[in-house]
Amino acid sequence: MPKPFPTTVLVLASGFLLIMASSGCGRVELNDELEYPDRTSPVVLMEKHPDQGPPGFPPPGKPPVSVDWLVARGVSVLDPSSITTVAWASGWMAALKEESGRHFGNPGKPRVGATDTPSIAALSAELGMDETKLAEGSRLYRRLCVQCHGVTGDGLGAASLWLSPAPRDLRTGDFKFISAAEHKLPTGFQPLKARPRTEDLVKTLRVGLEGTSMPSFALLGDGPLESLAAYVINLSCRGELEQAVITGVLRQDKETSQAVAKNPAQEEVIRYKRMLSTTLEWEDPEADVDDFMAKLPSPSIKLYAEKYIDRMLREYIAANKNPIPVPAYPYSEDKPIPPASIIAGHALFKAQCVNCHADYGRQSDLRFEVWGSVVRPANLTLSRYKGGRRPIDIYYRIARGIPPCAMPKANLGDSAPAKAGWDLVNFLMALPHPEHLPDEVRAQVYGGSLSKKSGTTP
Amino acid sequence: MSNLFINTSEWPFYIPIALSIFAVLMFALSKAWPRAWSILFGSTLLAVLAGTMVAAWAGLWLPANGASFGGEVDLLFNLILVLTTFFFILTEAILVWSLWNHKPPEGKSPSAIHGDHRLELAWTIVPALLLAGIAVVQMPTWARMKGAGNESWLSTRYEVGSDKADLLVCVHGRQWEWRVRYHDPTLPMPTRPLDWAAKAEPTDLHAVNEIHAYPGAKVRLLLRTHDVIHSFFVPQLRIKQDMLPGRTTPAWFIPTPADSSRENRWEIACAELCGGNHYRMRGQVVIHPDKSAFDAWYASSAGEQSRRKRSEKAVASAPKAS
Amino acid sequence: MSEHPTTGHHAPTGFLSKYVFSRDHKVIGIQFMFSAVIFLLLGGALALAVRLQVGYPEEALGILTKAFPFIGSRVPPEWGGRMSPEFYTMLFTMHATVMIFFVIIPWLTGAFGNYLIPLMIGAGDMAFPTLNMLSYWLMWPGFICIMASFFVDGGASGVGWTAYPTISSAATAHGELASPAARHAGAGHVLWLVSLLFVGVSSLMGSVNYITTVTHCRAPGLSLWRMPLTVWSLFITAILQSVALPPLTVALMMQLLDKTAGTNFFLPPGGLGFGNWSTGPGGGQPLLWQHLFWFYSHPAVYIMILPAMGMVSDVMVAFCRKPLFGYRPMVFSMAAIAGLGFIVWGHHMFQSGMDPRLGTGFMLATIMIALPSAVKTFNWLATLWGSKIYFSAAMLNALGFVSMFVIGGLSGIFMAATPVDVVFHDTYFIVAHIHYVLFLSSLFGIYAATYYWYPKMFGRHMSEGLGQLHFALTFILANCTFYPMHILGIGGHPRRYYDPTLYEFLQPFQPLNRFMTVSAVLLGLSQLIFLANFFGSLVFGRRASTNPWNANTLEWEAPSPPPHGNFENAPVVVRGPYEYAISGSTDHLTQTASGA
Repeated sequence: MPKPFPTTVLVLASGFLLIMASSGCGRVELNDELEYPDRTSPVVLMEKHPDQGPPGFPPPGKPPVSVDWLVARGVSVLDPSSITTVAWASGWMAALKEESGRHFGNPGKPRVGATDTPSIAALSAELGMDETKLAEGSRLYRRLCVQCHGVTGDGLGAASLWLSPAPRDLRTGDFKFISAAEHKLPTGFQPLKARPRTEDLVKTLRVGLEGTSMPSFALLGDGPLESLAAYVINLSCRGELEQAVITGVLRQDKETSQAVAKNPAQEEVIRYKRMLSTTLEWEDPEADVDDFMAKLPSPSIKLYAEKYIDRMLREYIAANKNPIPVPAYPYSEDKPIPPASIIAGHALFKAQCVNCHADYGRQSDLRFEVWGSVVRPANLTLSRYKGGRRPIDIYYRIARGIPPCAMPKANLGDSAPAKAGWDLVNFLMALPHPEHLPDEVRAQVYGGSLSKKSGTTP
Repeated sequence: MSNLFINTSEWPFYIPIALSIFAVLMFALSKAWPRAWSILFGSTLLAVLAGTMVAAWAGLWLPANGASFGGEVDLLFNLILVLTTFFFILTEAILVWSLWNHKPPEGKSPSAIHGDHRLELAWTIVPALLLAGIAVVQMPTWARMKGAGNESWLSTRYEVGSDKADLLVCVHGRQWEWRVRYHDPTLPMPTRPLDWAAKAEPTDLHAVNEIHAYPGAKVRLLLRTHDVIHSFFVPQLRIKQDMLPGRTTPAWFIPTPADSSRENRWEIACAELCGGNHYRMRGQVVIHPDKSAFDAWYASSAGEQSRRKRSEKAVASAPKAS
Repeated sequence: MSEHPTTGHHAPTGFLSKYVFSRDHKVIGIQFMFSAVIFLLLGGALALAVRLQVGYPEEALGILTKAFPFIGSRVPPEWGGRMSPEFYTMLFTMHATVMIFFVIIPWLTGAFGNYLIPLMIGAGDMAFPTLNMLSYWLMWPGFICIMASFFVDGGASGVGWTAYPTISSAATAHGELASPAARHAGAGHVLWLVSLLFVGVSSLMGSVNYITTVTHCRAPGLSLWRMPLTVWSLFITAILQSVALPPLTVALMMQLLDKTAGTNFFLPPGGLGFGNWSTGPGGGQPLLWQHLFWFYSHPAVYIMILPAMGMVSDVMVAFCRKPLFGYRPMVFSMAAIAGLGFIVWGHHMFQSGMDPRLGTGFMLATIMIALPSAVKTFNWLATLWGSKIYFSAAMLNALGFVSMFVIGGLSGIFMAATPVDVVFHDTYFIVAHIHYVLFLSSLFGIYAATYYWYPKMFGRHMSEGLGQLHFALTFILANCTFYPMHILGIGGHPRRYYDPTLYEFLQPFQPLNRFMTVSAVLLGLSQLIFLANFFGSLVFGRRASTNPWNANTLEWEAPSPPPHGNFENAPVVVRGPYEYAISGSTDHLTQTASGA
C-alpha cells in the first residue's frame, strides 16, 4: 500500500523547515527605536469655560474631545494637520521637531535638556529627572501606560476611546489634583499653568483615581513610581512646548496679516514675534524677540524652546516648594466629628458649591474641562473621591480647587479660614453616610427618612 | 532592558528544532524499519513523563500552600496524579508495545476476536469504582472550601454567625484593579454583612490591590463587581472565585503560611477575562508574621487614611504596605 | 443486484448547479472541507500571533514586523511598538472561534458527515438534498460576518470565545454598538453573534438531515448494528447537535438583543457602571448566559470528538486487519458520552458563583463521563493488541489520536474534581486540556480521516511520504507546544494573559512559554506540508482504485470518486463492517460480499 517515498522530497522538506525555522532569528525592531509621532489631535484653546455645557459624554469609541461641540460654543480649536497648508510655517514645524528631539530625546532614550544646555540640565537634576530615571520611567510607561495614555501622552492610546473618563492628555501641562498653593515665580511672574507637585503625581500613580480607569500602581514600589512621575513630567513638558509652538503658528489673527501686508519683507520676523508673544510672556518681550531675530538666519525656535523649557522646569520646582499650607485641625483628632462642624460645613457648601454640585452632586450638570473633554462635577454622596479620600486630600481640593475643570477654590472667609475649611471637609466626609449626619442636615440632603438606598448606585 | 532579541542559544529555542530533526530522522528510519514509529511514540510519551518530573523537581509546580484547606486540595491533586499517571503508563505502554510487536503485513492474519465480555466488564467496573472513589473523597473538601459545614463563623447564607470571623473584607473588582475595604476589626462585626458590602461605613479602611491578614486569621471575603466578571485568584491560598455583577459572592480563607516568621506576600491574579488589561489586575495578599504586626499595619494605615496634616516627607501619601 | 439507488434529484448539468449550488452530498461535503482547510490557515495564523505575544511579550510585534515587513506600515502608531493588549484579546478570541466553529465542526460533521453518511449506508444521497445545500450556503453569511468583523470599528470580537456577559453584552443606555466594557466588544462582537447564529442554524439543518438519512435511507440489510462506527458517531453527534443547538441559538439571540435592542437578559438589576458610562438599570442575570452557553458548548466538545472517535475506529481497523474489539460497547459508550454530556455543563461554572451544592451534582456526572471514554480507549488498545499494522499516514494519525486522547481524558479528571478545579480553573491547564482534546485528538482524527478517505473523495491518493513526515513532525511538535501548558497550569498561570512576566510567580515559567512558542511556530510550519500535500495531490496524486485499502464498508464499493447517485448497483448488506482476518486464507469480507 504505502508508495515508496522519494528521498529527495524528504531532504527538500526538512531543508525547507530548517530555513523557515531559522529565518526571523536576526535583529528585530523593538520599541527602543520608537519615535514620538507628530501631533495631529486638535489643540483646544479654552481661555474661558463656555457658558453652555456639553450635551453629554462622548459615547464609547468616539474621541473624548468633540470639536463640533466646542466650536458651537465659541471655543477656538486649532487643527495641527492644517499646518502643512501654511507655507511659511512648515519650516518652523521641522525646527520644532528638531528641538523637541534635541531636548527630550525619543521614548527609548528620554532626557530633559540638550547636552549643550547646562542650565536646563541643572534644573531637571533639581527635579530628580536624570537620564537613568527617565529611561526607567519611559520603559515602565511603555509597558504599563501607553495602552491608554499613548506614546506622546496624548491620552489617545489604543484603548482610550473605550474608557470614560478618558485617559488624561498630559501634553497641555494641566493637572487636576494638585497640592501646590497659588504662588508667583521668584521672577515675579505668574506660572503659565497650575503645576502639580511631584508627590501629587506619585500619589495618583500609587492609589489610582477611584471611579476612573486609572488603576493603582503601588505594587511597583517607590523608586519606579518616582521614575514614572519624572517621565510624566518629561512627556508633559515635551507636549506643552509642542502645543505652544503649534498654537503660536496657527493663531494668525487679523493684526498679523495687516502687519505683513504693510511690510512683506519682514514677514518672517513679524510672524515670529507674533507667535512668541501669544504663547509666552517674556521679561522684556520686545527686546528679547529682536535679539533672537538678529541671531536667527532661518526659522528656528532654538532659543524659544530653551526659554520655554527653562520656564516650565522652574515652575515645577516652584510648585514643589510651595505646598498648600494646611491649618491645624480645630477639633479633637480622636473624637468623632462634632455635629456643629457638619452643620457649619453644610452652610458653606450650600453657599458656594451647589451651583455645580447640584443636589450634592447627584444632579450635576456636565462641564467642559480645559482639554475640551467632558466632566461631571462629583456626586459627593457616593463616598468616591478621584483625588483621594483622606481629609487632607479633600482639604487640598477645597483650598486650591481643580484648575483644569474650572472648579474654584472655596472662599473660606477671613475670620476663621482654618475652621471653615475643616468644617467643609467634615461635612463632605459625613455626607455619604446619612446615619452620621445631624438630623437637620440629613433632612435637607436625604429627605426626612433615613433611606438605605442612597449612595449605593454603581 | 530585558532581552532584545529572540535568544537563539537558549534551550527553549534549540530543543524544539532538535526534536523536529529527531522526528524527521524517525520518519526516514521508518521506511526500512517500521518499528521506528513505536520509538517515536514511546520516546514522546517518556519525554512527557520525564518532563513533568523535571518540572516538579525544578519547582515549576503547585505554589507552596498557604491555606488551611490547601493541604486537602494538594492531597487530592496528588491522589489523582498518581491514579492518572498509573493509567497513563498502562495504556501508553500497551499502545507502544502493540506497535513494537506488530505482526508484519505479509505474515499470517491475527486472530479475529470481536470482543470479550469479561474484559469489557472488568475495564468498566474497575475505573468506575476508582472514579466513584475520587468523587466521594473530594466532597467534604469542596463543602469546606465553599463555606458549608458547621463552622459557626461561616454560613452559606452569610447573614448569621459573622461575628466569629476575625477579618471581614469586601473586595471590589474593577477594570482593572481590586478595591479593598476592611471592616474595622476593633468594632463588632456587622449583623448584615451583605448590606455592609453594599455600602461603606466611615470607619472602614480603604486600600487598593492589597489584602492584609495574619496567620490563623479567619478571613471572610465578600466579592463584588460593578462592571464585568472578574475572578479573584490567589494560587497559594488555593482560592479562586468569580465576582458576578449584581451579586455579592462570599469566599474565605485562613492563612497558614509554611514560614510564618516572616512576611509572606502572595500575588492576586484575575482569572476571568475582563478586558484588554485583564493581565494587569495584579494584587497582593500580605500575611504579616503575627497579629500584632497586622494590628500595627492596620493602625498606621487607618491613621494615614484619616490624615489631616501635611506630610513632612517629600513622597508619602497613601496607605501602604509596611 | 437491485436497481439504481434513489437520490431524490437528477444529475446536474450546468457548472453552477454541479460544483457551486450543488445538492449532491459529495460536492457539499467537499465544499465544507475546502472552507475548513482555508479557515484552518487563518485560525493557525491567529494562534501563532497569540503564542508569540505570550512567549515574547516585549518583542512579539517586532518579530512579526520583521518576519512580515508588509504589516509594519499598518501597525497603529498608538500601540507604542508593542501589540496592544486589546488586540491580543481579539487574537485569542478569534482563534478559538475560527477553529471551533469554522474548522473542526464543519470539517468533522459538515465535510465527513455529508460525504460519508450516504456512502457508508449505501444511499444515493441525503434524505433532504436541498436542505443539505442550504446548510452549506448558510455557512456563507457566517463566513462573511466573521471576516467582516475584523474590519469594523473597534475590530473583531475580543471577549473570549465564551463571550461571557457582562463584558460581551454591556451596552450604553443610548444603544451605540460600541461597548463601554471593552474595545473589542462592539460592532465586531455583534457580527460575531450574527455569524454564530448562521453557523448554528446551518449545523441544525445538517443534523436534522443526518438523523433522517441514517434512520430512513439505509441500504437493504444494513441494520443499525451493522453500521460502521463512523456512521454511528455521526448519527449520535447529529442527535447531540439537534438538541444542544437550539439553546445556543436562543442564547445568541438574547445577547444580540441585549447588545442592540436594549433588552436586559444578562444585565443585573442594578445595572453596570463604566466610569461615566452606565448601562442603566437591568433586571437579568449574567449567570444565565453561562448556563445556556455551556448547555450547548459542553456537548459541543463531544460534537467535536465523537465523529473523530468513530472515524479513527474505522481507519484503525482497516490498517490493522483485525475486527474492532467490542463493537457494541463502543456504540454504547458513545451513546453514554452523548447522554452524560448533557448533564455536565455546570463543571465549567464551579467557580462562577453558582451554588456550590449544584457543583457537587455536576462533579459526579463529570467524573462518570470519564468512564465511557476509558472503555473506548481500552477497546482500541485491545483492537491493536497483536495485530498487523500498516503504518500509513492515516493509521499513524489514528494512533496519534488514541495516545493523545488518553492524555486529554486523564487531565480532565483533575478539573472534574471540584477542589482541584479551584486551582486549575481558567489556567493554562484548561488550555492544555482543550488542545489535547481538540488539536491532538480531533485534528489527528480529522487528518486520519482525510488521508483515509481522500482517495474516495478525489480519486487520487495523498502522498504517503509527505503524510508520514507531516505526522512525525506534528506529533512531536504538538506535544512540545501543548504539554508544557499543563505545567504552567499547575503553577497557576492564568489563561488569556497578555504579559505574564508582570507576575513574580509566573516569571520562572517564562522559558517554558518561549519553548512552547518556538514549538508552535514549527508546528504551524509543518502544517504547510499537509496543505501542500492536500492541494498538490488533487493534481499530482497517484490514481486510486475503488477499494485501495481493502476495507469492508460500503463506500469502498462505489467508484473513486463516486458518480452522481454513488453506486452503480444499490448494495445489499449481508454482514457487519469489521469482518477481517476471517480465517487463514481470507483476509477480509466486505459488507456485501457473499460467502464464508
